[in-house]
Amino acid sequence: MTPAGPGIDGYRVLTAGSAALSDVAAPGRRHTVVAMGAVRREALRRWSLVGAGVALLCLLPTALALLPSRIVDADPAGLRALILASAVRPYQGYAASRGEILLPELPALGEVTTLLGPATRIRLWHASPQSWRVAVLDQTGERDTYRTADGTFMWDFERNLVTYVAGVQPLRLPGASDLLPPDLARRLLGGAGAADSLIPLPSRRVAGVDAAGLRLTPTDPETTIGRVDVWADPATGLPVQVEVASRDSAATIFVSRFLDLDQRTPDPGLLTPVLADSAGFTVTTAQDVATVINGVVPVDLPANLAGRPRTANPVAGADLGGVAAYGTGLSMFVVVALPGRVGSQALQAARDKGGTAVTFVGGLGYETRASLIGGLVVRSDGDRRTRRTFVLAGPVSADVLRRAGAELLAAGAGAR
Amino acid sequence: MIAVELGKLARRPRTWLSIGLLCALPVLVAVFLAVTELGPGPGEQPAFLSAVLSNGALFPAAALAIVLPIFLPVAVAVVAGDAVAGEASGGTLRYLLLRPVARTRLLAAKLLSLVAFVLAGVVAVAVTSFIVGVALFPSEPAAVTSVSGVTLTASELAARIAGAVFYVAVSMLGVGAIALFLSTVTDSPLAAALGALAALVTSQVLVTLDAAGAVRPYLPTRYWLAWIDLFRDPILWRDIDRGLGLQAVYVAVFLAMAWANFATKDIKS
Repeated sequence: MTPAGPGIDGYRVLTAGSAALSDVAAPGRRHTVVAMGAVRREALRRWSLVGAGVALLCLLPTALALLPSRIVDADPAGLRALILASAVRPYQGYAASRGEILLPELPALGEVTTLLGPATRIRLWHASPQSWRVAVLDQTGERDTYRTADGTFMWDFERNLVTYVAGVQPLRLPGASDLLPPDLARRLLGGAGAADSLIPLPSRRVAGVDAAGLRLTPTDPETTIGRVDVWADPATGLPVQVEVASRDSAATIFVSRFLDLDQRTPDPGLLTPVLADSAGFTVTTAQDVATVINGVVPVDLPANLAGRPRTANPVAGADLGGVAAYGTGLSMFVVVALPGRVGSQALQAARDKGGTAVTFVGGLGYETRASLIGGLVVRSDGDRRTRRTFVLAGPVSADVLRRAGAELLAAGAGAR
Repeated sequence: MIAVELGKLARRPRTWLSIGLLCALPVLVAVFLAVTELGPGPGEQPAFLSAVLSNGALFPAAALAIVLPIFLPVAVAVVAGDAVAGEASGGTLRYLLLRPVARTRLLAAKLLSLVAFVLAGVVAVAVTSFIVGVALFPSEPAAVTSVSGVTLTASELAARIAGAVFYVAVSMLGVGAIALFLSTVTDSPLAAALGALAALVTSQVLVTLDAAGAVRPYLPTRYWLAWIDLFRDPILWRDIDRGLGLQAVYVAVFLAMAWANFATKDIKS
């Protein structure tokens, strides 16, 4: 006879195997039935225990998410003022942004394309507007930007390169710091006009903060931004979450939110770049950044485009030749003049990425539309030496960009 | 019983063959890298490989990144899938349970021998890759550049690699637990291993899918690469904590399922 195995305490003889079971129970069929019933009951008990545990684990996140946050009421106008005044507040934490703004990878756009794309993870330490550090994390490296009293340091792990930018950049492409909730909220709310609607939103808990919310709805018919929702700490005004939707769709197109937040001043040691000796090192001046990093050719751009005045230079005395912003508020757009080969690459990229051809008097162009941000690359007729290429981009309608492009070509902006 | 299981594991040639193959892959990559000096471009996997060209002491981290996505989980799934189903298909399970040993204890012993295999595999990869990295590339273990650009001392580097080894080993336990459960369901070790790998592939596909964003935090492979955060300055613990917690949940759930199934299973072979 084959003895049965020691399966369940108390059922050792009867439960280990069908062969053993039949051997032991052979003298009477009644014993077999009793034993099988006990095994089934025990199996049911054990699976019930496991099922209950699994159900509990599955329900736990939902239950935690449903925990009510403290209801915070705040006057939207007062909250907006508090948010705009929060730039001096210190904070540190971990944030994530997620967007559906799929810009074509144009040479002039740098890392903007990826920052506005599917997902970006960012760590940040902010002591003041003059002293902060932002680190964009990915699965193969990290890109840090340090703002110090001496200038800006940029570290790229995968290139093993430190770039030092002396002085203040008068105009630059958006970086990771611009897409964090505090900067993004202040920029969007700061651009709101008096006619724009401002209403309160239900409060919500974000990164441990019971945040008060407000919704800005622009009235400018030329902007593609349909609404801006901001949640901020009602005590300090620090924005903790921003959501942006386009005018065409109610769905949120871009979200930036804190996942962890500590509103204490960060350790100064974390704000000072102590970078490895083995890293490569380059130095550039703020004047060079626009031309070297962004690939810009110095040209004289018109004072007005599409009925919008050129925005005042943010740094007095700085020469921004070849780069300009037009308009105000949420319908601002930028124009960048590109040098020959970079310009050709931009035009080709816009065409290859599904851009729509637009014919102008004196040139041609391709326009791209990325739910929230419109783009247009135009090139004047002429030979390699005389033709000019411009990239126009911003949260404005295609009509505005086309008019601006036509005026640019008509004005014949020339090299200095 | 644990000693018996560990002894069986150590005596099996395929255990050492698996570990040998795990170590061989990074060595092969290192040889190609050293000969051609062509590292991956920015944004291209695996992590740390381009940094190895300037400091070979970082190669253990690159080696972990090389074996983590496929080779290590395959090895773990094969060993865990064989744990109970291998005994059943070989006709030894029935006799094993005669000793007498409680099934729960047998399951625990199988799990512990799996943990030993995973740890041995990951440590072997780290040690061999350090030796190969130092031998084939210019190396300065006392001055390794962290992901954040800060210089790490030799002791800091050793601590972070040890942390990465531990984290990667824990990350494999979720797959191991799934395979161990399936091993109690079927008498075919191959079916158990393939089942666990199917779960793994499903998870890796869903992790990259935006539409699956709601379930992403609960997928077993979601935090597998969080060990890279050990090489940032300061260390980012958020995803590491979540990864360890998630693996603990997977191990607990699938071990409980294995216990519920195996303890009352009708053993026929």
